[in-house]
Amino acid sequence: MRGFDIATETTEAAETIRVTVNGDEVHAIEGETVLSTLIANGYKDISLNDHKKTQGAYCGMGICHACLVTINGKAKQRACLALIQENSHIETQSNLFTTIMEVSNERA
Amino acid sequence: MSEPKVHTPVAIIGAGPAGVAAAVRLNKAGINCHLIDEHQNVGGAIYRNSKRAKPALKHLDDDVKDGIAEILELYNSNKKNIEFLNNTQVLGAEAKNHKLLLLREGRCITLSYDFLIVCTGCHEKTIPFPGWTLAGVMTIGGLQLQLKSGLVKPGNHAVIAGTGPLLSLVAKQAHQAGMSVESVLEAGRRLDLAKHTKDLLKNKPLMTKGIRYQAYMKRHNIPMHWGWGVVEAHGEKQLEAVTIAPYDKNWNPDRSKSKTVETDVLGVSYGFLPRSQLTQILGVRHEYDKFSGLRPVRDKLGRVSRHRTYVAGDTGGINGSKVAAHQGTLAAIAILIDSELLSSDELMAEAVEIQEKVAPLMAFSQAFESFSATRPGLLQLPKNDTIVCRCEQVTQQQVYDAIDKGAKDITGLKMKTRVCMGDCQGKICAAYCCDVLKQKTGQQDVGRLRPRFPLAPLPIGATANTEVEA
Repeated sequence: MRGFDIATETTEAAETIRVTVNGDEVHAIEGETVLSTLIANGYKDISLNDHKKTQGAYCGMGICHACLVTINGKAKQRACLALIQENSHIETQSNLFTTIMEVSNERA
Repeated sequence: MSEPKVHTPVAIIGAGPAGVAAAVRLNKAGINCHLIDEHQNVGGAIYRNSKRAKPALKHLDDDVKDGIAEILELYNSNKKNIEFLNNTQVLGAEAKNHKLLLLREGRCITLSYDFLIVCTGCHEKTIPFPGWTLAGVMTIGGLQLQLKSGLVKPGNHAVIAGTGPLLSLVAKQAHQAGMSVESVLEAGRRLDLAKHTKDLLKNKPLMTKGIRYQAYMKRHNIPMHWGWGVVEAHGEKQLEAVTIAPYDKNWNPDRSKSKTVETDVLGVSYGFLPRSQLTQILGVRHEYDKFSGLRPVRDKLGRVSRHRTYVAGDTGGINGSKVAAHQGTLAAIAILIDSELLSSDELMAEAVEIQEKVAPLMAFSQAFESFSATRPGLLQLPKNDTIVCRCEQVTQQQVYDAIDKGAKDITGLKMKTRVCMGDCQGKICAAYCCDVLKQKTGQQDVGRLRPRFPLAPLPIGATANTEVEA
């Protein structure tokens, strides 16, 4: 069981799939959202917004856009809507816009 | 752009209680439909079941499990005639024609319909306060979704604050899931709720549940305070503690009596707002309801001011899941009447019977709405440096300055500060910004935020011209 799993009869026996978060391998359970995977493994301030502020999930249902993570290279994915899949690579606190702004400021 | 292979006469947006009820009633009359939802399964937010295979869910009580089981069963016994487009976002709709633009599997597809039912539900209203943007502060709905559907705990401790019947339900669920519930804070006073007893008794099952949850909290020594609320959330990068205080009858905190409670999760709920972005884009007439906020105007069967378009469920006004299911059935009946396929006398009789069931349920929800209506004290919670628009990091001070410099409506405020222009497109901050504008300018009408296409983020690659199977 992961740190923040709720103990249910089948949690212990649940088949875990392999995914990485920021390069580290973590346990995920087939059928859960990326947000649940992150929460279960103790990740809280998972996103970096366009103004470089870190945030965690707020509404849990796709409205607030405060849970944005990069999944398999695609930026600004709502973790609360995306289903976790085998071999997913998730990057937390990752924001393409702020990266581009930094690069363009360096070049200026 | 491709269309799904099968055409059906009715498109239903939202597979929660309203959408599924509508699909089932249409199926009974032999009419197929497309049912669209951004999630994997039917159920909506309220009956979001665990996508993981069949856990025992001991931490959830039977009502939730029964609700989830019931809606799944309704769908499963009718699914032969329901084209369920799951994991599908509605990007937009044209006001003048009968097509929807959808995002499915990373591609745009169109869907033609003859009749449209919008059941997009609601989302929580946000009240900003110092520290509310810390990781660990979340809506009660967000907390509940992780407990009942994600099957994970967002932390080890919880403070639950706000107003309304959800507080004690989620406190119980959090406790049963193994979280330590430090405090439950209802802004309203017990005496004020007692004034509505006559209306509350009109929905005995729900009233009984409320009493049960209170008894559970007493049994497990979970402190519940009436007439108390949040003042500030504290922490470096994540939530570590919450300052709470008694509220007066206008929900102004008495900071001299404040206490600080350590916690890593704060669940807040100050009511709900209809998800009316799509109905607005369709050009449907809307009105401001003092409890529900901006909602499409509809008749007793759910018809709105657009040809062959209907609204059912919380999108048309916040009344909960049981009313939503009845309204879904009523919208389906309206389509049957309007398409003149069946005798309207029998259909009207059926509708009247359903409306009689709805009336006491609405009396109950309206009693709570009156009890839980936002009081002006909450608008005083933010400090000058408190973020009010989290997407664009706009502070309370910046909002006040813009109003001082002449911003009179939400559009003017948006232009001067960038509120409502970020990733969430104002879903979180618009209501609060409008409340502040009304308070500061003294005007009742401060305009509306106009939703625009696309209603969901759209990757450019999705517009590539390739054929897609739906």
